[in-house]
Amino acid sequence: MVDFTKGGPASGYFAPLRYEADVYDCEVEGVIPRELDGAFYRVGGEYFYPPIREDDSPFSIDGFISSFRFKNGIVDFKARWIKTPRFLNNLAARKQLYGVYRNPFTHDPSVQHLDKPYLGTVMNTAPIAHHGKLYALKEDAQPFEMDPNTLETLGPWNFNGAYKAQTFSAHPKVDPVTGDMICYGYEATGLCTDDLWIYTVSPKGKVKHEIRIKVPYVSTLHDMVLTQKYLIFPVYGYVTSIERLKAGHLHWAWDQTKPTYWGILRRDGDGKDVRWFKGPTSSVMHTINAYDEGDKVIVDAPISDGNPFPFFPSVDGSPWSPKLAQHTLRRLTFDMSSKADTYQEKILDPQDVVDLARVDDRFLSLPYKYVYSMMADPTKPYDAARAGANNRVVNTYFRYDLSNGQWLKYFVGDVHNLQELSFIPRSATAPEGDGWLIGTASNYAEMRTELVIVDALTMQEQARVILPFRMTPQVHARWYSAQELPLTDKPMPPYKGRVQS
Amino acid sequence: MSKLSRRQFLGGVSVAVVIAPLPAVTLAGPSASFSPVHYAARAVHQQLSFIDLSGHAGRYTAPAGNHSTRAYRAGLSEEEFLRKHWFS
Repeated sequence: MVDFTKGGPASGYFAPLRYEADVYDCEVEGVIPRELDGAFYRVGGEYFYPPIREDDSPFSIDGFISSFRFKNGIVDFKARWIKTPRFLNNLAARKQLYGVYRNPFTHDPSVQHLDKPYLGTVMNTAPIAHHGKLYALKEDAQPFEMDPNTLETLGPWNFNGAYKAQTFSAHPKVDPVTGDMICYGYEATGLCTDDLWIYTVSPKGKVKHEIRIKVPYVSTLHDMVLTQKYLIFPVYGYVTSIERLKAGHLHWAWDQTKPTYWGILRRDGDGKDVRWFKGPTSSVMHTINAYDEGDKVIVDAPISDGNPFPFFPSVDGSPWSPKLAQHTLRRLTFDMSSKADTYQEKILDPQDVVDLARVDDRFLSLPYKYVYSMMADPTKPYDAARAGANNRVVNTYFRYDLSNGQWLKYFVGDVHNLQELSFIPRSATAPEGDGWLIGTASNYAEMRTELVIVDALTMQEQARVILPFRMTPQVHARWYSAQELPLTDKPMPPYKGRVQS
Repeated sequence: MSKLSRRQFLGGVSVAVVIAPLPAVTLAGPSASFSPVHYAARAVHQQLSFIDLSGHAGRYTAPAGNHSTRAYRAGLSEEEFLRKHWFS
């Protein structure tokens, strides 16, 4: 029997869904640009069985993938659980066998696998496409290949055995110049290990370079950034240890005394050249972009001064601070010609933003102009009677112009809460910023998910796709065109039943 | 067997959604001894749902239309009920 009353999802919009879905030819308001031929993939989580403990992190939720397939102005929707060993073991047992967030010591003994913690992955964080394959990602295991059309789970992939790390980040980067994918695994050799292994995968899917380094302390290394010369890894705030896990705690706790380190190493090196630059305590869960400027490395990121997540406790027992969790757009400058191990940090704008920023990916690792993300704009209306009182909603996409500090904004509606967006270039040769923003919003009043397409130059809405139900919120999402993935035009399998002659 | 009217039926049914504002819940079970604090409430952070033990995380309040049927009925006068549910 499934009982969600003792933990797990909340009620209302966040009540358990417990279904997979197909919607053919979705309802659309406005006009979908005919140029859009591809799919918007969202990876998030949906508990099939509730967590066993009240203090668990929502990052323990079962992985769930969905897609909006666009072709000729028509949209088809599909959603599936990601069939990890954990999901299948739970379903076979008809109960939750697994303990708290990335702690196998709290799992049922039948599935503990202390030497193979990746077998407990939930694969709930991000999609990525490369070399014509679609993967779901979670940073505690190797990637899971997914069928880009049916969303069926094809299983973990280790690049024909050439990818040796046990883990794989949810934020690999694809170099727009070479087409190479830079990916990495931290805790690469097992639970709480200080090994960071970094790989370069060719556009044909072959591992062509491996670098192995050690980190200053074991911490979440959720995202990285690259320039044409360097790989750049932030280490910050969160700590873990085998002792901590044996005591039954969640994998991460926040240590406000820990400095932030930025590791910078040459992309074509062996890792011996890595330099660790040291700065004040901060959280860099996500990055924006980076580029070379002579001997300097410029890194942009949404950064907070404290623990961004209220469900990861502090090691000293201090209460979570919403103020320290606020993110601002910041620029860091590293002088590679200097012997100093410090860096300059500048707040580009004091406004509180969501730390899920994106750029025109054709400018990744290169000088660029525009940052796209979201914010809760308190000047915009909120219909509490229809959407529920006192809910803090992210209601605005923005484009921030790095060249002049100008903001351009799009307001989604007075009962909506936005999720991470993607930028789609209007064409392969369009200038930076000429394209569309695409992303989903939770409509709290109508209890449904809506996808919006916004012109990225004018920040005006072009079209809105309406799902007739609420769909589980994502963690991360990405758009991929039909040139990047082998997408079919047929929305459903062929009919094989009888017909009257 | 007496006839069950739609109004009686509505009065006796609770659906799976709950009354807002969301109640603070103290959860019993094996984990209770582990939790260092007594505060526990359902919360949502970046649209991720969890049980907040910090007392500082964001709340989500379901809109009135998603309250239980019992709560909905309790908020209507007899006249309002008959007007909205004339088929009962």
